[in-house]
Amino acid sequence: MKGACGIFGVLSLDGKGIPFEDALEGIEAVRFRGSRLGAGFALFKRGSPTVYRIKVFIREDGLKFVEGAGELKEVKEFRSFPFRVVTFLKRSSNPEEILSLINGLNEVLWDGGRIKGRVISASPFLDMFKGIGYPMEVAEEWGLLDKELRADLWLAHTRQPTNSPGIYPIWSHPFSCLSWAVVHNGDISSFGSNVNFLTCRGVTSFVGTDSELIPFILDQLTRVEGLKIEVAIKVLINPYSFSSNAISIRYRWASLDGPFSLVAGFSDGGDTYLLAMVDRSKFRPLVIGYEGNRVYAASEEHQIRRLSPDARVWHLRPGSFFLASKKGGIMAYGGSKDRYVKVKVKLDPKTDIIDAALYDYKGLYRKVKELFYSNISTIRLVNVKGHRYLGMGIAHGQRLIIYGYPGNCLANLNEGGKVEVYGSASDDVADTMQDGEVVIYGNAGDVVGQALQGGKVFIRGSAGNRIGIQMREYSDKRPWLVIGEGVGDYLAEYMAGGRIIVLGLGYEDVPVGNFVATGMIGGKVYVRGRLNYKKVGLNPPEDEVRRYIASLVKRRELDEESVHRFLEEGHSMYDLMYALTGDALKRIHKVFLHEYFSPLSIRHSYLHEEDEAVDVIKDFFRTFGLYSNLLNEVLDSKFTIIEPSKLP
Amino acid sequence: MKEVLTRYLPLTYKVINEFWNELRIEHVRKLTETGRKTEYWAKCYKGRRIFDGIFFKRFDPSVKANSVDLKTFLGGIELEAPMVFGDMSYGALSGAPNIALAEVADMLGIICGTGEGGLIEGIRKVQNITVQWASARFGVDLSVLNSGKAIVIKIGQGAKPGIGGHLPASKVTGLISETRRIPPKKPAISPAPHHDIYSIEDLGQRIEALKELTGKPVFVKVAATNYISYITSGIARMGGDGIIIDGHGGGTGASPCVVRDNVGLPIELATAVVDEKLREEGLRDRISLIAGGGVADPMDTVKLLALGADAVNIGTAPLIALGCLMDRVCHTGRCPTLITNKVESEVEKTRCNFFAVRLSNFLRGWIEEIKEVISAIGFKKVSDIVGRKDLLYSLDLDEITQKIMKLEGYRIGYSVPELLTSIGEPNGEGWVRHLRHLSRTGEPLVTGMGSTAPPFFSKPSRTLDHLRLDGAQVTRPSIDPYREMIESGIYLLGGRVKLFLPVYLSATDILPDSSYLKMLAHVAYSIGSLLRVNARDLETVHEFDEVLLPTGKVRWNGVMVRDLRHISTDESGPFYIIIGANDEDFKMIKRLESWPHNVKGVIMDGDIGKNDPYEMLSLVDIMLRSRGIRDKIDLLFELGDVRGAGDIVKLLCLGADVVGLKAYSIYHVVDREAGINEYENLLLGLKKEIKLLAGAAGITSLYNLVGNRELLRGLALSPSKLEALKVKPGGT
Repeated sequence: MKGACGIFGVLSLDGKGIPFEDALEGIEAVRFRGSRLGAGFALFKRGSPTVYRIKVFIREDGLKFVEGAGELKEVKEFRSFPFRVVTFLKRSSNPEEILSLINGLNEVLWDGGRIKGRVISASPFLDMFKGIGYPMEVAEEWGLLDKELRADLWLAHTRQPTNSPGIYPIWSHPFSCLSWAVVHNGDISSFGSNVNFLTCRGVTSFVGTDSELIPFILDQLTRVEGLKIEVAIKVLINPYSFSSNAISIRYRWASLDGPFSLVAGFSDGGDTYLLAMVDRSKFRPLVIGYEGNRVYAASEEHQIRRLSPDARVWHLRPGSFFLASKKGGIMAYGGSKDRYVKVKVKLDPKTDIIDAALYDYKGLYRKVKELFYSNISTIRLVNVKGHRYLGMGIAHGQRLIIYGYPGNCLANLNEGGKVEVYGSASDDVADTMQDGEVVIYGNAGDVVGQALQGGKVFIRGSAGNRIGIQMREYSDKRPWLVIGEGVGDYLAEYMAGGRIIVLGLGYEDVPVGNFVATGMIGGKVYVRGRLNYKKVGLNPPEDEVRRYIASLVKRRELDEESVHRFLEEGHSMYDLMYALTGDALKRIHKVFLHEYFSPLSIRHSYLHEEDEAVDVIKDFFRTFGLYSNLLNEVLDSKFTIIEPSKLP
Repeated sequence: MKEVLTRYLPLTYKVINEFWNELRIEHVRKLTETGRKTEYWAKCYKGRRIFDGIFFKRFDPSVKANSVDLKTFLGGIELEAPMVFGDMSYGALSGAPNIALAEVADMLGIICGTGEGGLIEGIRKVQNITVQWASARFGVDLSVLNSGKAIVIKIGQGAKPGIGGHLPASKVTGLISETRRIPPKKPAISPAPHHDIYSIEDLGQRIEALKELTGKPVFVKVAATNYISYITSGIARMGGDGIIIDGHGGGTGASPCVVRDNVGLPIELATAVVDEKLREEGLRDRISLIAGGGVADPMDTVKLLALGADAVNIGTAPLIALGCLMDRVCHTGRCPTLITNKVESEVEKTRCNFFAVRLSNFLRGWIEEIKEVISAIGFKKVSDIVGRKDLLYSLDLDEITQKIMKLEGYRIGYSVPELLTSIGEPNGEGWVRHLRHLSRTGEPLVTGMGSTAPPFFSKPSRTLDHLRLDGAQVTRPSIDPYREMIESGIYLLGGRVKLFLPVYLSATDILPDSSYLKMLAHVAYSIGSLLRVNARDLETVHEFDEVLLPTGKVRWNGVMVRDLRHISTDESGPFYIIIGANDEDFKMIKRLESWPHNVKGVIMDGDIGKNDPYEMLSLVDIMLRSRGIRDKIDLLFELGDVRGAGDIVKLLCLGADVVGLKAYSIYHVVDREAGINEYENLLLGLKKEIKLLAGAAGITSLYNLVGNRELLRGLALSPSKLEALKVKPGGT
């Protein structure tokens, strides 16, 4: 359920273009993610590469600064903010010249914080419209609605300000640098370092928001440093797997730390690109959609479903990116495109059904609450699209059947009711659930079963990151969480009780991300197949461990033979601990583990017949009506079973 | 044992030098005995806090109003006085104190926070409580959320912004396990961030969800950090009914010392800027503001109200009323007054009676004193003084703080008498004890209760003492280094050399003592650091060649470390050049054209030269950046007076790639009989504490700290110093 701001991007792959109304619908669908404090749109289209269209916000007292900067095209007045927008054309074959023009203008217009104006965009291919208000209001004020605008690529944003005021449109998204435009949802903790990276390179005027830096960094890395777009993105995200790469080190102050999801557009005149990326831990949501002639990037799944109900939809993995271009199609998926379960249901027209399309999410939650209160025990909802809080705090005997795509916080604090979802759920399912059942026929987003302390949660498809974190058991309560396919990173983090099963149905390998069971102190995790031990817990960097072992050998506290296996093959911390004894073990424990560390036991074995997990797996298969030969195959496979233990 | 239950223990010598010193503790004890106001005002004195530099323009103690109306509304809840007992959980406290706090709050018509520990019997039935929704959801279900007057979403705490909680397994007894709904005899861990709240909008969603579910007002508790005004305006926009801001100085049951002392802003400053910001954005009427953290007496309380708080949160003072001696051992289960540790049930009754009587007296007296202050400043209604900065003036407060707080200010050059201020941790040199702890254990130092750090709670002596670090909350999650990856590697020579931590050792100015030098070299090797040595000592430690950075005409990874003045024109680099913290050296290196060909790095020895070494470091970093070459030039900074991980992180933010510890100063800190493990432990402990601070700021790669001045804020620094450091003042 992560995310300030709502973001949206859509790229046409067939050259027919995308009408503006689609971009507007996509972003208005998450109006509630934003606020009155800023929204905007960017479009990419064809143009002459040497004619730059420069758009500037200007106050009355700033007008003199843009005089003579180029050929004046248009001056537009606005009601909702004290700036007019001046558009002029400038011919140049040197982007560096334009960049220094932008920076120079921004410097004088900033005027020590008195803010006389700001360059909005300067590109042959990119045009931008941003202002104060919700997306619809900004669209109206720019007069975008009746123009039948089409573009190869649209970006759109609705803003929830974090660390800057939102009173002027200069803080609204998208932000641009030459032919790069970015919409961003995040809060960058490396802001100071990133500013340093740019000031070193002659970009010196900033409005003080982290988002503004990103298109400038992308421009520097690709145009000036000549990195390929894919590499520049990696520098930006700096995933753990890339951070010791020479390029990452070289451009270390260009990388973004802290949470973000961002969608960017770029055109070099020849081709137009849509990029989407999330931070290394994936602290903000981003969903990708693909349907025939279009690709989408959005904050929430229902934004895509409104425009392409049958799109294939997947979530980005932590630290990964999606890249597509008009000519090249999809070049990087950034997530498993298999993560897709299509649910087809026939409704019985005789039953009482509530059409969710008639309600906003709060209205629907209240309606459901009211109906349960009036002793109706089963409620069916159709056309659910991003409606939040459904099934929150419901009680024993209450049953909620949902057709569609419920929004965040499904079945939170469930006290014993049953929630069935024919479709996919979003983030934060079953938070602090006490009892009852949640059955999801499709997929679920991030953070499922946080602090789950009773009842059962079954998900037929996959789930995202942080699944079953802080699950716990006490007195006679023991929760169960079963995932049919796979999960992302941080499975069972801080787990203190209960059981998690990941079945990996339809997968050859083990579909579980990194950092499994970190900080686990109780309960049990079953993952079908052999899970790489390196994925379990927080393993210290291998070079540090190797160095320390070499040092113990040097001071003759360790015999090289005894750690041979570790040094040769580079196994996990667990292998190492099993290889060591006595003082050396104690010392390694001191150096690499902290006092709160609780060691884990990891076994790879068949399930005993009397293991409770067997019954629960059978229940799972029954619930979803899955084939019994598949059940036999599952019960005949080995599982990796993780639980807390004592140090060897 | 009986003694502890029925009367106060004498104070130990330690508190004499504390912020919570004899005078302040005696004041609280006086209140508890009589339940009436005291003559405390006569003894009021000036300390170093901002509070101590703020006064009421009109203050006439002889004015006694017949009645002062203290009626206060917080998120629609009516209170008899503008007071809140701060959130303290069952688990952090031992049960009887929790019940006493809740009952007394109820009796006298104020509100009591119950912390993240669920509700025990004895509290559940009490009306005037708030219940907590915190990152671990301890003890939360629908019935708990429906108890009490409001729900508090706990995001942060003044004593540990960006840090989660940890209740050791030994404290998780049967009853605590049942109340928290967690397995018994296993540690109770609260994650650093809420894993469903990574942004302001996520928070909005949770506020809305809890309000829809229960129909109760929702308050959000945050620590006072760099962006506090933006965070609070976000909370107001997101529909929060109240904000509880906890300042630097606030108490805790357990916090890593390094975070408590280096992160966050004082509550006076935060309250003033938050109130201002909310008014500016037209949001002030929508939300109640509750401020606390280091509030010592009713005078502080009324000042906070005038600075903009609707009510004031206190925690330490009521604990002192219960008998707390400020022994700072809350986290160990060895509290001499049995407030924080488990007690056998037969004595509980005696305790409860004692507690309830003392506490209600305390609160009555405190409220009476508030009334006295309000009438002395010429008012009869507390609501008339909220946000009235115009009633205040500042005296000898630094110019910038005064401006940011929008106070009228005067300067008479009154200096704070040494005797009247607290001078830091017991025994004066808290940081030495802290480093010793690291070398003994290799683990961060954990402590209880509020901060004793400079510049406000002890005497500042260096520029670094005036710098505060950021804590991530609400708009971005903090990172828990125990359970999530924080990369601590630092790269030199464009990536050719990797250090496993941003710290090296420097042994260039010690006498050649071969065994000591060998040990340092071994430590540098095993921990993945560097040792700077003189070329003449190379022979002694040749075994550890790869981690030695020698000065002189010897190469290390192809580089020679040389004094710029001694490099002749026919020598070819690459070089690391050594400079001191003085004007001549700075002038010299500013002339890039006079540099020898191929300089790869600058080593600044802060002990050489007369200038402020921290300022010089920052100037060099900025100079290299403005010339566009900082990416290619390593900047190493070393100093004898590096007092811990807080200093190291601040130095990284001021531009150092790596910070050097001088061998001679480490020698004085570590125990005489220490061996290699103790020296390793020191660096390990520092590394863990550096990661704690980075994680608290939401940083996952330490090199994102380097030159990241945005994470710093300056307190009580002159405009010229801030300009030289390129650091923004606290509250902006």
